[in-house]
Amino acid sequence: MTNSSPPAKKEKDHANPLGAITTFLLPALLIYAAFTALPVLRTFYNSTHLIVPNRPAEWVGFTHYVELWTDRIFWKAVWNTLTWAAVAPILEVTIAILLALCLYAKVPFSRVLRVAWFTPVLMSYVVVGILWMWIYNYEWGALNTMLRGLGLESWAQPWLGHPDTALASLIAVTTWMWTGFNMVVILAAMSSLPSEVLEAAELDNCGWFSKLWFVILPLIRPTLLNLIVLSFIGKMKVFDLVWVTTQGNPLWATETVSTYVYKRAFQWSTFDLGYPSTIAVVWFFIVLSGVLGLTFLFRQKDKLEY
Amino acid sequence: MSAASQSPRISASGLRMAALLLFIVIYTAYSAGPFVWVASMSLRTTTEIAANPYALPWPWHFDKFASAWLDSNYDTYFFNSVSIVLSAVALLTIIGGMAAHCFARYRFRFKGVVYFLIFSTIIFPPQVTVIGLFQIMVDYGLYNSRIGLVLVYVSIQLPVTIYILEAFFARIPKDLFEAARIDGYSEWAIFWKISLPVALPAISTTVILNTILLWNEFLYAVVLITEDDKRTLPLGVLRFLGDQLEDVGMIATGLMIAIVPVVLIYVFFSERLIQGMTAGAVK
Amino acid sequence: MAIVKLDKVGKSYGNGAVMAVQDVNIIIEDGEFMVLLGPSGCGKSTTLRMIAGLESITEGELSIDGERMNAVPAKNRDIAMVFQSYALYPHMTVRDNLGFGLKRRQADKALVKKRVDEVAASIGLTEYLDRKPHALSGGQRQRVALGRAIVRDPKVFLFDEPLSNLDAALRVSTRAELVRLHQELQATMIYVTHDQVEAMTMGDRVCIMSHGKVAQIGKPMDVYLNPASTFVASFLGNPPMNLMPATASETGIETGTGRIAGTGFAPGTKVTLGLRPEDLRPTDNAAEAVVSGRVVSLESLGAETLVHVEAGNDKPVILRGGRETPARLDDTIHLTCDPDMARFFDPETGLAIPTNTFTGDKK
Repeated sequence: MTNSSPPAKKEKDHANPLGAITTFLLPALLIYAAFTALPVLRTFYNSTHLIVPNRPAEWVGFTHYVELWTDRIFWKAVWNTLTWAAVAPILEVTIAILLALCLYAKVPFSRVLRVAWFTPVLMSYVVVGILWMWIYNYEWGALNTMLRGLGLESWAQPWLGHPDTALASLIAVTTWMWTGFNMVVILAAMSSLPSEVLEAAELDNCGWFSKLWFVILPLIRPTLLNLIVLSFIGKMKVFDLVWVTTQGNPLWATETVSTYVYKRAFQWSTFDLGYPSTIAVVWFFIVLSGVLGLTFLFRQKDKLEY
Repeated sequence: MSAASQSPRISASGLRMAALLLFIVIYTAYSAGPFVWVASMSLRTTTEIAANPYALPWPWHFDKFASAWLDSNYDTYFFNSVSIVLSAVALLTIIGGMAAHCFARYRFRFKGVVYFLIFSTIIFPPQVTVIGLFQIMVDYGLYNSRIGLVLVYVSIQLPVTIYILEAFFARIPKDLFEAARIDGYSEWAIFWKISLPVALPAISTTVILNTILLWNEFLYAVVLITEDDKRTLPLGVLRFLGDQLEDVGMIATGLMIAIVPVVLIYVFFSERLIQGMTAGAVK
Repeated sequence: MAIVKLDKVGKSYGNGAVMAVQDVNIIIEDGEFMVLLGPSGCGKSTTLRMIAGLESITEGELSIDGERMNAVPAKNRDIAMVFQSYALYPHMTVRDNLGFGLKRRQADKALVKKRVDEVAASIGLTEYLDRKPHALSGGQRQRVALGRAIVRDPKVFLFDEPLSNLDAALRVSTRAELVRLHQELQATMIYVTHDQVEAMTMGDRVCIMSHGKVAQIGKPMDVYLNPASTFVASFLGNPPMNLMPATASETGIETGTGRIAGTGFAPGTKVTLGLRPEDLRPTDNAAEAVVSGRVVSLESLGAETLVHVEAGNDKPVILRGGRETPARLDDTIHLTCDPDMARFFDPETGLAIPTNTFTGDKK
């Protein structure tokens, strides 16, 4: 044989060359470490420190956590956000099912309708926020104009300015944005159903409602649950819309955890980054348990084969 | 007898049809109405709007677009957004593509751990990164920097990009890569000459999706950018709102400038865009 | 032009927990057409992929022309491979597919083009050069895959079941074309298949594999006539060799329903007797019967008839007769054969007992 080196203990794995793997993965890992992992760790570190400009961070133990426990605004924000995250997914998915059914039944102009219904989700929350501030405007906003036109003068009110209606009005905006998106996903799921199943239901002489309730919905259940979880996660993050429209007003009626963190970190002149970090950390665990809870709840009997 | 039973059935189904149509009309008005309204306002002056907010635009004041563009720093915001979004999307495609290629093609130790770490961030609330990120960007000297914002944008869209691309790469038969290997190409050349071109549909999906999402991004921009000449369009629109508080017509024009590029992308690439946005939702 | 040598080559997964291939020793001569044959999961594809450099070799040594190849990556081994799925690059035209491997090695574009045109002409692809793979038929794709290997003029050609995605008629004609190609190129070729017809018709030699090990290597007819084990005997041939337990006696070897001449074995030795279906013939003389039994089924295949005879063993004995049925269902039939054609195997190990151990005193 040739002068080849004695067989190494372990031959190089040609199919999975370590050098190439490292090269391919390194940029992503660096970005991840520098701009995701490190900030998260930093936030966790912050949460037990007093972080004031031009002074070294000062260890304060769990003082922030104790303070947070009695922070009425924080709990109000949590309540608002959870309400949002609980109500919006149900509204979005329910309306989206109805819309998807309309298109599934091939109503005329369905292409145009799909575009009209889907487009809101493409907009920036800033644009959407300004637009809906006008729609909710007391004097000349579209909603009040319409109510007056219908002779419901007494219903007209400053929708975003009243603590009782502000949150609901904002939920209506996210519903406006996201229902079309959910509709498209549901429609895709419906269209990919095997036609034999629906034909079988047809032969069983199913009415359209029982066909929907007993055949279609159970079959697209995984998709629906997925959409609910996605929407839930999305609402737990809400910031832009509130920031542009109400900034949490009136009377913290629309304060969300995001806006509260932002205010405490960058707006209030407390100049401490420790306390808002504590809020973020606590919120992180609330979101995590929420998502895990939902997944667990939905995981149960989801082995659908067709 | 038969005629008697026939007619109520027609009216029942007719009634159902009418209810359906009514529902569609109301929802469509709810969903599309705001756009029509803002589009018409963008072509009218504030005086005209004050007289009647709901009249049709006549004459069309296209000159408002020019003045919004020139007088309010809109050109700066617009080009900031374009350059930041395009750089971030280009980086995302390459870095995300490389990582996705790696996940789809190779076996290695800790693959599962790395995969889990990257994807768990999809459910992270941004609150938990934003404060630490602010501090770190100040430390890095990347606060108030367009490059800094580009890197942050890459990091927030990276998981979803890898997710979409990995799913597609994994479906390319592995014979193709082995053939290229035997044809004498290095792993890197295989990535450029086989993976990326074959995955073009998935690549374009992520490009369009990332473009739209980053074009609209607000939270990180508002935290990391304070200097006026570095603002992106969403920040610019908000500033515009502050400056022109009463000038509804002008603001509407400003909004349209932000809306139009997104709508254009949608018109030309609707299928790809929908694929990208729904990629995570359909199981 | 190359000699490929596998010296105790093995492949294990999970730190030796699972042996996919073990102790493979093959020397493939320069210009030889070697077929690796075996049922699925026998390790033949893994062996080929180790030669290609697509799988790492965990034991033993692979060399090409005397040069150790274990640590050489696939791209530097100067081999070409035709895949079962063809693995054509879907985003490239036929021309680019053919030239892709060449461009890496040959910078001169004019030379690449000349070579591609040459090869395309020789396998009849000239008019499809500007098409993409999805616009080709299955047979055309197969030829592109073949052409892609030829263009490179590699040291060794590897084929991984290249015909299994073709329809029956096309498979026959492509088989002939491959044989012609081999004669023309005089190149070393290694061909993996599970199809014994391909192995018999194309191979200079055949290497039969089973459970990750080499069962036998030899010229197709040698392997067919002298299987090294009961595995090879029952894998080759359709229907395969009849195997039945037998015991040596003073006068020959007793099958229970007859006997065959030959006294090389000590009386009482238990052996497995192997008889090819085409070597059996019916006889009226019960005394010269090797086996006898009742006809349980008849299969008329047109050119021949397969007669299944129940002779008291696990499986019926099969006789390959002519077009005319030599028997009727439920008849009792006596079968005999030339003692030279009988093969014996050790019933314990399944290995062949070389025929020269019984210096037959046949008549």
